[in-house]
Amino acid sequence: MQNSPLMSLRRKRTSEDGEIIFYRKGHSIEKLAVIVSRNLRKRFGRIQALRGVTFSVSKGSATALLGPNGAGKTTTLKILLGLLKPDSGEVEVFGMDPWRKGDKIRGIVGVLHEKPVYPQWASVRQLIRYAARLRGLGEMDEERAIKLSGLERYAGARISSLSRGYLQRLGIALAILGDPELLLLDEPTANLDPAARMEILNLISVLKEELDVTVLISSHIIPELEMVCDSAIFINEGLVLDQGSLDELARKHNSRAVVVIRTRNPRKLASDLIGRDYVKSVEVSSESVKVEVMPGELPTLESEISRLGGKYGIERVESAAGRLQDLYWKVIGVAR
Amino acid sequence: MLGDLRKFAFRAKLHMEFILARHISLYAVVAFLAALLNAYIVIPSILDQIVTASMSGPPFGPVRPPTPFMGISLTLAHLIFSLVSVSIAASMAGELASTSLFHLSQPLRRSEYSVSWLLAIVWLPSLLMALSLFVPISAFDPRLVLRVSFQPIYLRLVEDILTFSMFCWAALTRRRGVVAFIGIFFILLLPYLSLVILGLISYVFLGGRNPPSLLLTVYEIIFPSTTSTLFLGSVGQLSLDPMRASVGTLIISVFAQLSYVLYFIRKFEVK
Ligand SMILES: Nc1ncnc2c1ncn2[C@@H]1O[C@H](COP(=O)(O)OP(=O)(O)OP(=O)(O)O)[C@@H](O)[C@H]1O
Ligand SMILES: [Mg+2]
Repeated sequence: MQNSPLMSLRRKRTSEDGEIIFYRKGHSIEKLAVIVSRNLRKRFGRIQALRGVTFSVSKGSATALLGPNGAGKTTTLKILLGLLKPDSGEVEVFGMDPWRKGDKIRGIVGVLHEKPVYPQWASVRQLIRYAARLRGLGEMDEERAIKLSGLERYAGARISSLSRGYLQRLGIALAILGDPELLLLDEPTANLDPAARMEILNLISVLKEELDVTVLISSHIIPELEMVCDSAIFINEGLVLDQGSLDELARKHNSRAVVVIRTRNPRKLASDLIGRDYVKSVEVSSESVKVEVMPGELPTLESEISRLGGKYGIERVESAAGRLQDLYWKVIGVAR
Repeated sequence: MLGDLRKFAFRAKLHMEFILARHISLYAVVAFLAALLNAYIVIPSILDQIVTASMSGPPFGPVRPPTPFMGISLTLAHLIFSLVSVSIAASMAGELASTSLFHLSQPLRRSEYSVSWLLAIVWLPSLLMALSLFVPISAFDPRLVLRVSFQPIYLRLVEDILTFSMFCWAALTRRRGVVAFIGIFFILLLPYLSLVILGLISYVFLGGRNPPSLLLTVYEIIFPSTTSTLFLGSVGQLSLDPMRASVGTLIISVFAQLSYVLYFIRKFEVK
């Protein structure tokens, strides 16, 4: 990503009107909350899609929105964008009511919908240009979005001719147009090939790390969420079951975290680690060590690993597999 | 405030350009053909008028009543641009069911979105219709424009603006088929069907006397142009002067358009 167009990014810190756009809540946990939702309810005919959704998303976090099919994730995201009007409850995005100030919010929020529909007759560039001009952006921004989403070769193509994966990339190009402050992504890696998946996940991480973009991602692919997210919201049947940072949640639900460390000295590393009180168990194989840590102690292990890296010839640390997965079953499974 | 208005105009214009982009050349061709047709029908009749006027009196005497030919070209223009309006309304219905998700995920307000569709469905076809009537004449000789009697054109436009406003409402059903049905119903059937019903009422219930003036007034207000052409010879029967009725038509049009925009802003959700 060294020479990526991202390097040229500069953030616009204030909205067009120069007003302060971050919202400060009275509660200490909700420090600089970008999204605050209280008791949102939404009914579609006979289906009560949301029955009191309460959560907040703090600035700079990457939050996974998790829940089974029909839980109300898409409905929630659409309310945040001002596309749906909640029946009751309160919601604020950057301190604004999405239903009434939707245009302002959508000017600084990039969105990728679960089932996007684009005008089939237009070309990729035409569509991106239209969206850019609505935001008051120029050609540079268009080109950058096209480049970052890997659409260069298809910029002139008609949308009706795009494959599903490229349609998804188009959605991502539109979402990242003009440095959004917040990204709402509804199943962003659906329909992508494995390489493209990684590209998109990397892009999300980079946007988050370098540009401090707040991200809210709904997805069913938990390992991917685990790669980019630091917080989670669990939603089921229109109710938020639990939310918080992954560490907090792991501690609370006594959820295990397992890390596989590839190293040239597995035995020595294992004997070093087994003495730590935050390590629950250690399993040694010929070239790796599998470590299970106490709930909420993953960051401690991670910093320890980076310290010990040279000493034990650590080559690679494989994902803290299963932490979010485990949480998912603990939180959602109990509800079911 | 002024900045807001500017932004409104800018974004509504962008959206309108985008939705019309695909068909704009078609509409231009239609307008051009309509203008040619009008030129073919109207100009000879105006010339004819001038010639007869100059033979029977002082050269610039009072303007004569409209010739029947103007009526024909008006009716044609009405049919053509009603179709244009219905087809734009149908594409709005299609969009509301699909790509509105894309448009309204952009920094575009529901007011800007609905107003630009309103302009495309109501005001663009009306404007094109007026132009198709006046441009050929003034291209032929600008002085001839004053020879046209304005009242029938005005009444036609007013009636159509109300009808087209109804198409905006029809588009809110998000079904192209419904828009097409309502369009054909409003253009081809309703004006005549309701007359037949009025006639039946007067025949069956009133023994052949004129229908109640309230019903007739309502009819006149909704169809001022149709009334004045159908009742050409018997204006005495009318309960209202068509020009007076047209004020009511305009008021109802304004109400229909405002309520459509308000409904959209308050209620329209992208599901
Ligand atoms: N436009 C709509 N009309 C009627 N019902 C709807 C509509 N949108 C959502 N629902 C219903 O509301 C509930 C929540 O739907 P939603 O799309 O928010 O779920 P989700 O969590 O995104 O599910 P998934 O993981 O399958 O995408 C479902 O029961 C769904 O059928
Ligand atoms: Mg969904």
